[in-house]
Amino acid sequence: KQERLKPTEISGIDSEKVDELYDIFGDGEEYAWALEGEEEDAENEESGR
Amino acid sequence: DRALKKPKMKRRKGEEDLTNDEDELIQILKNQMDEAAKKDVELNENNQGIAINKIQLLPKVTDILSKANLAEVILDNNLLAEVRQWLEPLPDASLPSYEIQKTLFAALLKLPISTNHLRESGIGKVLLFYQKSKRVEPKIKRVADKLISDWTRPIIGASDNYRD
Repeated sequence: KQERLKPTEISGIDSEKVDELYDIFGDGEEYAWALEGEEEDAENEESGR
Repeated sequence: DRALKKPKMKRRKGEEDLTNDEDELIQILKNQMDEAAKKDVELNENNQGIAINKIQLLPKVTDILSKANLAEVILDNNLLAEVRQWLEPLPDASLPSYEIQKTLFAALLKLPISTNHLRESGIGKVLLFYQKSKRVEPKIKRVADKLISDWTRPIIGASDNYRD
């Protein structure tokens, strides 16, 4: 079975459980589009004033 | 795909008539929630003012979700899929109103949600968004954190209790 790179916060558990976590919570990409603007807003606030 | 093969129910025979009515009640609510969410997405996409359809239906949703005796029927009929839909960011990336967030997160805390329910509904994915977003009220974020850790524990814990 191929080893995949594990995110640090869930390292140390076997790959079946990692797969299950991805199954339940996704990989964070699904709603990433709605988070993008937040980074810009935060940057603008910091540099803007 | 283990979730798809899960046997539908384990309710006792004598309860069937009653649960059919309850199933129907939840199915109707699911349709109404789905419709309201889609209308709000459309309004938001076309810049036609406030997304009001979910807010209008919220009292009914709150009422049904607060009934402890319906918890099993709510989960078996995968109402969580619509709860997920209601919590999703709108096309302009705005979040649903705080009232909606508050009600739905409170309900999520009370329901006996299993790993199978999570897999069926995909609600964990939107919860991850609430955990990450900087726009979420601290109160809601704390609930999201708690739910995510509650839902993670049975998966990484003892190897076979996730089936139940």
